[in-house]
Amino acid sequence: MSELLEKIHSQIEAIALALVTMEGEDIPALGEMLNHLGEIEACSQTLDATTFTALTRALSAYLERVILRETADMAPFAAGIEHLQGFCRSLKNGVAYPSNLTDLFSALGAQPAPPTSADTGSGATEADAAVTPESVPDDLKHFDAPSPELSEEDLEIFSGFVVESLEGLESIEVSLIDLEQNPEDNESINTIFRSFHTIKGVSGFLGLERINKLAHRAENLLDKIRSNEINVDAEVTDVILDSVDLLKKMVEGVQNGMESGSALDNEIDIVPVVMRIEEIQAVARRGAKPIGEILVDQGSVSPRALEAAVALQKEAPGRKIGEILVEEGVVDTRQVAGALREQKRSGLRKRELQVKVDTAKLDNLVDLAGELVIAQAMLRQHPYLIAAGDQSLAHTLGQLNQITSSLQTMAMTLRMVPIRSTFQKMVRLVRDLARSSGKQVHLRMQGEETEIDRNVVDALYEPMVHMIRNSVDHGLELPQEREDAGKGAEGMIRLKAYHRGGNIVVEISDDGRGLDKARILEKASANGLITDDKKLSEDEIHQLIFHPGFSTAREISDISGRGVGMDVVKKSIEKLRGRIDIQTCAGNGATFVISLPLTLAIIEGMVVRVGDERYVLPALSIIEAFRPTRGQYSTVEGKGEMILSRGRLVPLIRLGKIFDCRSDIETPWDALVVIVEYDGKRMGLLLDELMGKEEVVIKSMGEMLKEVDGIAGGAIMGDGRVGLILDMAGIWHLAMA
Amino acid sequence: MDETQEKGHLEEQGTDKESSKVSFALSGEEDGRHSPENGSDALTDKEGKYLTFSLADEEYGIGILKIKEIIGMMPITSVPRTPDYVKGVINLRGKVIPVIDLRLRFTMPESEYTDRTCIVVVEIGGRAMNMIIGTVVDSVSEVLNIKGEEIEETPSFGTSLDTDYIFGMAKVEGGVKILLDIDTVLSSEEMAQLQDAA
Repeated sequence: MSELLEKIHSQIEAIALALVTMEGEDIPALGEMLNHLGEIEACSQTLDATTFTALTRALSAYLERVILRETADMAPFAAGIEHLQGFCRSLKNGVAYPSNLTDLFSALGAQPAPPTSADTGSGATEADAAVTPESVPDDLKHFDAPSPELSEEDLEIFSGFVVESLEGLESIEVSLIDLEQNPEDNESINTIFRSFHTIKGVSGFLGLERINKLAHRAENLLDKIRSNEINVDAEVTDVILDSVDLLKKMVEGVQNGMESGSALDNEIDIVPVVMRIEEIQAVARRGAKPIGEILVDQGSVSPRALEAAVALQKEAPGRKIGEILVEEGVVDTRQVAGALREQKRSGLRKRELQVKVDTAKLDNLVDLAGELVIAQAMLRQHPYLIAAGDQSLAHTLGQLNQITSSLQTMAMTLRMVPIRSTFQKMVRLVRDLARSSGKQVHLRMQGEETEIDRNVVDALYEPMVHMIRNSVDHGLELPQEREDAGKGAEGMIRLKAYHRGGNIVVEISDDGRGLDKARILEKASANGLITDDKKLSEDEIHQLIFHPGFSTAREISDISGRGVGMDVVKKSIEKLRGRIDIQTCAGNGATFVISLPLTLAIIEGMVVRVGDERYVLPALSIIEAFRPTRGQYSTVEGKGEMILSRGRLVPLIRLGKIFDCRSDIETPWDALVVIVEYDGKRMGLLLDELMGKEEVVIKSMGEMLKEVDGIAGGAIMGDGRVGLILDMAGIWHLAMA
Repeated sequence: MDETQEKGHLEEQGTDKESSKVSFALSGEEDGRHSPENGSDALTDKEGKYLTFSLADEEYGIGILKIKEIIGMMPITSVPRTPDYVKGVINLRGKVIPVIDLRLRFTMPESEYTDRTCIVVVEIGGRAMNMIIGTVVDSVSEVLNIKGEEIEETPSFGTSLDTDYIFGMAKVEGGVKILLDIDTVLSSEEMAQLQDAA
């Protein structure tokens, strides 16, 4: 109680000081005061001193009017602050504040509130513990929905608010999970606090009262957590998540309101959540030993040993849990040091400055950088310049070459974003899944900073959702089952991303029951995917789960198990030119390894020639290229052509024929055969010449030519002209049609 | 293909001429050119500035707001399995855009590209889906300000000639200009035919 009043007092002092030092129309100073008033209001609400709160609120409202230049007279405000100081003193002394504030309220353009117990001084000491249901909704009753008629400028502010808030809310979700696992991680608390604070501040300024109220309450709760008055547990995280959900809905309501021109306040009932926040604040508890928990998470300490250590710590306060554990010989110092490092790491996360750029501009920049490189190459090869034979000219051109190519590389990297955002979206998913399936799941992420093409990130989201659902639903066992199997009750899902070669690898692993070979086989033969007697390798059995219509879940749950899923995952990964592998060990979980190209924008290809036309063959699909001997070539019924490649007969496809263009060479043993693979099927393409390898930038050919059979897209070649990239699936279909 | 490239270089000079003519025409607005007859049939909503160009012996016009730019002939990469009027794709400053030969689109006889042949780059479609497409024309003529009263409904030619993609006919001093609804020329029907060809 007195602590709170001390805080209020210091805030009032800060305002008084700012008021004295303020010069003219000092908006930042006014904003600063507004923040202080917000803090005071937050504190005062727990005091149950309605008049005091009302005065604070009236002062805030007045200040907002000053900021909006509706009034320039600071005198009522100054008077109000004076009263606030006096009021605060009376509260401290537990006496009623004697002055009549009615005149002040009318000068501030506000209504005074009926006095309550704390205002009159009696019973102030019990006030903070008793939060009655009636007292909360009191200030939640009246909401003035801001006028839907907004000016262009207002719209900009509002849409800025919407974007910022939604971002903030997303970051809250992530930090919250960090916090739940590491309850004394101040960085996470601060992040959440800041996000709520910003939303509260801006929504208050914009007159979005409901949002402001809820954000304010949530902020208060976080403040309590920050000052260690409240311990983070499932109940707290739940209520924060619910607040986030409600705020999201309301912010989206603002967005819809802006778009449709209707009211911005979408009448969502925030009272239940606000009540829950107040209840939690009323019944504040504390506890938790993060270091111990980290050690348990890492498996270095059993929960029982930790409990024993905690008991010892209670007997000898002041000793660190790590020390006790080392002394007891449960862990060695290195493990404790590792845990400490891990504990610290989250607090040291760097915040880098960022600028938001329209993606269309980015794409244009990449296009132009590519053109610059081509123009530069043409300039270098220009006969006039070569003939000039000038040393300094050659030097300058060399420099130009270097600059343009680093410019292009730079432009390319601009499209790369950390995979973090996709990982973060999974945090919430895992939580919700765990909740609905009654399982305990711990999510671990590694390598979130790994960079990946923006388009790949977006495309990766859906398959990851599918796979995580799969892991939680089919992979992880129920807590009881886990304990019976000698594992901790809590299951683990691990997301890991890293670069390997020109690829990004994303691993999704769980420590659940793993893939059950027998059940897969049983199911596969029941579905007629395989015949009983067929001998399959382990890997081939695992691959069966990617078969359309395959699902081993005994019951259909609302999470997964409808028999759609893994085949969709495989398809979408292949669409991204990636591959997916499974590593599993029965009883010990499964790991799905997705490997994807870093970018969809660049493709490594073989440039081939057929007659006058040049095509790009994606290097990924090429098995081998050779000039066949007569012996390798054979026909069926004089028409179907085949070529013998690595002991296999593969159909020979004349590219010239299916694309209806003239080719220079008709006899296969004078031409070139490139063996390509598509979806496990091999075919030989008959071409005139291999012109070399080139890394090309893939370009869409526009809406009109987006579905040309056999062509995947266009590419700007080294000489500035357009080359066509071949699509193996399309060619296969054309050839087999 | 090499042939085309050579031509491409030649044509560049041709375009410069054309574009200078265009800008000239843009500055000198062609007001008061019309003779106000037939006022009752006026199609006023179609009046405005048109870029006119020639195909064989005929003059055509496309609304100036649809035009992105006019470029000289450049090497075109042909795309297999597309109708013959789709000449292929070009690199327009790092973007790949399709190129349509308007002569072939209107089933007129094909002709060799000369140094006056141009690619008129147009933007078609609405907000949801807009496409940038190059159209090959024999030569660009000028920008005309066409008044509503100069525009006449397209006469009917029976089933032998589809006139859906013609806004109307403009009778101006130089003769008749056929005003094209370029969106229709290049979009709906185009797409359908492409699908059939595929």
